[in-house]
Amino acid sequence: MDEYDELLKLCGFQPGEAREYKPTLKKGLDKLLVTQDDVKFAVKERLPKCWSLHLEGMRKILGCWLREYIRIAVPTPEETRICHTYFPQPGMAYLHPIKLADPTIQVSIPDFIASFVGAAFFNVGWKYVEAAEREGCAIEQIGCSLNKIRYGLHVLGIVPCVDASIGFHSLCDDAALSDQLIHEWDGTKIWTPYRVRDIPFDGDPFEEINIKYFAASLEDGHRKAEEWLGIEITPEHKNEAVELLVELSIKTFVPLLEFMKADPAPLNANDLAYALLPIAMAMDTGYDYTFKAHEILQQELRTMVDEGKGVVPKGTPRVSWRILHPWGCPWLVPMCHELGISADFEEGFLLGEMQLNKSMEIQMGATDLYVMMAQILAMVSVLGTSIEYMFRSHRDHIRDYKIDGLISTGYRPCRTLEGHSLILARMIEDRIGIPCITPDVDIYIDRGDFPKERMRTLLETFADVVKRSKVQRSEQG
Amino acid sequence: MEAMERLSKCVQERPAELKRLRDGGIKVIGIVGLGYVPEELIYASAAIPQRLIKGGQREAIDDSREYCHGSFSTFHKAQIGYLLSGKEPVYNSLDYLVVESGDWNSEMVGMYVYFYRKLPTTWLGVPGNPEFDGALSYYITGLGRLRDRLEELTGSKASEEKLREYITLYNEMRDLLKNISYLRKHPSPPIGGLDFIKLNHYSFYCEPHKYVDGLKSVYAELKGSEGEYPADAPRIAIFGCPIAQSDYVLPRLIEDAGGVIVTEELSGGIRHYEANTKVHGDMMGNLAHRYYLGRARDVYKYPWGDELPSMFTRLVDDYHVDGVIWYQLMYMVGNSMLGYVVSKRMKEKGIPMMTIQSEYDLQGRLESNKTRIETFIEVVKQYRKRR
Repeated sequence: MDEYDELLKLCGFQPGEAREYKPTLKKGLDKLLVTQDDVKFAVKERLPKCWSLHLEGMRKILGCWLREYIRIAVPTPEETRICHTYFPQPGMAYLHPIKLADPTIQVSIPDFIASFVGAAFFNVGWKYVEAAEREGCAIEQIGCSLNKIRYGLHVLGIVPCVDASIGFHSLCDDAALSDQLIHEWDGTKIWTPYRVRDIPFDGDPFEEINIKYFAASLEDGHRKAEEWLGIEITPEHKNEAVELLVELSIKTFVPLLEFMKADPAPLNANDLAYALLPIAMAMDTGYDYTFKAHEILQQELRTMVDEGKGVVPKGTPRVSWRILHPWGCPWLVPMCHELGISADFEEGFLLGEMQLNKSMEIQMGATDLYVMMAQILAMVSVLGTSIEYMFRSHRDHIRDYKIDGLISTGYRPCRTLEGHSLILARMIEDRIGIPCITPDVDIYIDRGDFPKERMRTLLETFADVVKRSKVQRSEQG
Repeated sequence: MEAMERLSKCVQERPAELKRLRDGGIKVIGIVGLGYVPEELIYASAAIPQRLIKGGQREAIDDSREYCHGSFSTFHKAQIGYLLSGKEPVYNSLDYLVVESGDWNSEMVGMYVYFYRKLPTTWLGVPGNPEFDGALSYYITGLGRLRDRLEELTGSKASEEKLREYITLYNEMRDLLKNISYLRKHPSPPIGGLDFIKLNHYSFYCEPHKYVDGLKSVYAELKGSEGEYPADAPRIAIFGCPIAQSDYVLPRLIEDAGGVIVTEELSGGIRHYEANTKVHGDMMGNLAHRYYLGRARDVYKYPWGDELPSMFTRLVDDYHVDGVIWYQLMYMVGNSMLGYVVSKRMKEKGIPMMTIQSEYDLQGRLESNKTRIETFIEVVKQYRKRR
């Protein structure tokens, strides 16, 4: 059994399935610049330390992601055209109708997949990023690694000229800007649906005129895709995408939110992100793997919760990552466990009551795909433009998941997600009274440009503050 | 130039002037952005616009650190520093803030100021996809809402007549700036880039009637004058990030080294003067057309297509540019990416291009920057000779 067999086993492949898939895997990894040593690192160190591989469901979920990563480099023989979008686009709802309109079109969110798998499993994200930095993404300007990954994939020739890159602009200037470089590089056709960010500090993120514009702009993006790809996206395709989104919400998303309320939580932050995020992704390989994996995972989690088992001992202080946890540095999660805090929660996806109710209301009542997408994007605090609304979302999350401290990953990796972080940290400390910290760490890749021991010292101090704060708050009732 | 000196005093006199106006009950409206807020609308609403365009000082960056992350755009960090430190009299004189939404840095300046200073703020929606059918009407709606807020604030209506009056005045201002700038197309320009940029910046500090009168005198003086720069001086374009009012180290170094700056495109760092506003028909619609679609495209309007990169090559051709200096402020990522694209275009044209990066620290590294620029000017001379 070599590293590749081991990898497939850890990613939940059955023996027959693994044998059949191995040549594709090797071909894909080779093209994606993942060496045999990188695979060895993943199977010996990274995967076993950072994910709950004792859970079969979790292993299968990692397998879903691995398949998507390989698909970027090795399309099926039938796939003759490519349509991309980029994070934080809700790719499932947007790209799935395109896949339904013509299954020979490969749909993907390559930056996200390459970060989620290439960077997190194999620690090769820096290879893509460095390629982008050689060709116009100046390193000293500290642009977003995720977008550098996407551009780097083109620069390295891993991703060819794309037939339609229908991105979108909500909070992220870097994403739309990176698309310009991609267009310059290989002539990829780009189009940018746009959300205007003119919601006041304490305004209503669902303001009608703003939502309507965003929805119309998303629809305009689909029209462009139809033109460039020679397809027709029918109402049936859109309805099917909405139905799938609702099904994913009900069968995969909502149950996990409930499991994570248990003390101790049954999954760590790495597990959670990979289990939750298919809902936001355009899975070119389909969603059957995801649903099957979730069925198994949820049974396993039910047993764990019933038996009071979790990733940390009961009563461990619970810490949440503001918006997203840095999956590019997944070793941070076990490091927090070693320091006696359970940094296993993500504010961006573990919705509080207000957010969850609103989300389900939007999905269940959806009559128009684009309005639904615009509303969901306006709602999810990761993209919200009203800081007061974001604060309310944080407040509910902190209350519902009994959070004792907040880590806001630094401004460096993503100025658009984290630009509000100092304001929100201050609001949370002042109004809720839990400690917050902002370490300087990249979300999307591990560049190794900051010492792990420095991070350990910082988190150690923070862990002490959180523990003391928890005791104090409990004494004060 | 006497007329220029007279205009230069408006910068020093601005705090006292704003105080006098505010004492008389006039509201001062600060503007953060790249030039999408029509000042004509603010004047017509009986308020005073104050574009926030100061920069170049390290102290402002240091002052911003208490409020925002270090890797926030240099220009915008400076705005936060000035707005929140209380040290800058003009920035202390604001009653209201209008922030353009369109580039994320500007939007965030508004958020910080609203949170820490509680300054009433409006975000004007500037859609980043101008080719989309609904974009212009969204911007028009935003302008309408802004007019309503201004009228509410001042109690004065921005009538069509008043709008037309200020539109006409601003058209005249832009025509004069354009005429002065075009004088630099001459082989021996009578004005260089440092003076032109300063002159342009004065427009943000001067009462517009007074400014237009001053510009007329400047133009009259320049039009009849001998060239200030020799015909063999290397003709330099500065492109890139905003050169803020008082951030003059780079243009000074270029012109001290024997070059002459003949054109610039500074991402909203100076007033756009090429396009004017129509004075017939619906004034608000006319303003929207000019300010949203009529002006030069900026880095935050997607997709760039060929329009944005070719704007730079056109300027190089029109002004017979020999060399380009890209002014790159730290953490303005979009401009940095655009700089890369433009550098490829310049390479194709055989025009040398150099990037100077700054976090308002050029003064602190004056000698090394001086050497770099002197060397670049020599290189440009060689290229020119070869051509």
